[in-house]
Amino acid sequence: MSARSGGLSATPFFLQAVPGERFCIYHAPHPEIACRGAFVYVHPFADEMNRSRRMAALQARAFAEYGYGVLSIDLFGCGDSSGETGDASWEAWKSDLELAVRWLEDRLPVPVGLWGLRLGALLALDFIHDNPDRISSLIVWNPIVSGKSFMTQFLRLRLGSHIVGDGKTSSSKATIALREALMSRQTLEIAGYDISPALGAAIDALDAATLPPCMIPVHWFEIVRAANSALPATQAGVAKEWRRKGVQLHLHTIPGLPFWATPFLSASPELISMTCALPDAPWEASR
Amino acid sequence: MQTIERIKILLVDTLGLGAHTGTLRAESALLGSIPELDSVAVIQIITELEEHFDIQIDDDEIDESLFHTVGGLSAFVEQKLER
Repeated sequence: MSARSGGLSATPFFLQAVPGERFCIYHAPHPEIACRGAFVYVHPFADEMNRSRRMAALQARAFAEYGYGVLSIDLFGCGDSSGETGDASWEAWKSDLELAVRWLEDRLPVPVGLWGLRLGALLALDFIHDNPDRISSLIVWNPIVSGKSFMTQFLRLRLGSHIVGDGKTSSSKATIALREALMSRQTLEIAGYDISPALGAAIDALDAATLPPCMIPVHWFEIVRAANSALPATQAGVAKEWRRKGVQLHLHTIPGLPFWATPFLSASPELISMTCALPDAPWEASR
Repeated sequence: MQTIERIKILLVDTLGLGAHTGTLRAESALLGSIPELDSVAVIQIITELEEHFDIQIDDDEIDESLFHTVGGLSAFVEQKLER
């Protein structure tokens, strides 16, 4: 399927929510072809959200050209939506997803799927776990599979600032101490983002292995460094566990750079073309 | 491939130093000389080293002395691999 580029518009708007409003961008499906489906895009957290904006936009546009509608929503306390990250909670984010899914359902006569990157993928999994009949399909890009490892990575950013700053690492900056501080109800500021104890604890407790998205087709895309690299061990363990539990899992590894983390602008056109091509297959038959 | 060569590739890829490919030496300075090496990049490199070499780096081992030179970073990883 080839569709002309250009001509398709992205519509930014604010969606009323509680509290405040959420910044959204809607990519309508190509008007000249039959609508194939719809996805809510679930963004990653903190700096990764900013660094991945371009890839998310390119994918949304490509999806639109293939006949998919895509709604990107900035979750509460993120991007241009109401609130500060320090006030954000995991539950509030899941409510935002509910809102976004409903908005697409009201607009398009097709089942709605979720497409999540990094922590956004873990949020999508948890949402599907809570609402097993709500979502028709799932696409994950390099999902965070262990909330605990994610938090360690994130808390380590404080160490990073320290190294680049005055070069001395006091023991109080160690991630173990930071985790304890967070768990004892202290809001921490890391890399310019406040993170509340409740959000930290919620993320820390999540394990993708216990959130198998059964009943729906799942496409897992993992960007890996070298052409024939396998999935990292932790991710491979989750994939195996999901299959054991009957998840219709399709795994795809793609060599490339982690565009959500690189300090320079990077993109993976291959990931986009593969993501667009796949939904054609077993997708629509699922419901 | 030697550890130091793998580390050079990892640095070039992670920091987007494409233009510097082949110019990194053991004595090449890192922190303070490569502007791309910010706080996020430092931690990303630590994570990449852990995944790539299958090693565990403890918080108290992470300090700026690791990032003086390419050779220093490589020596640290080699010492980890020998354990």
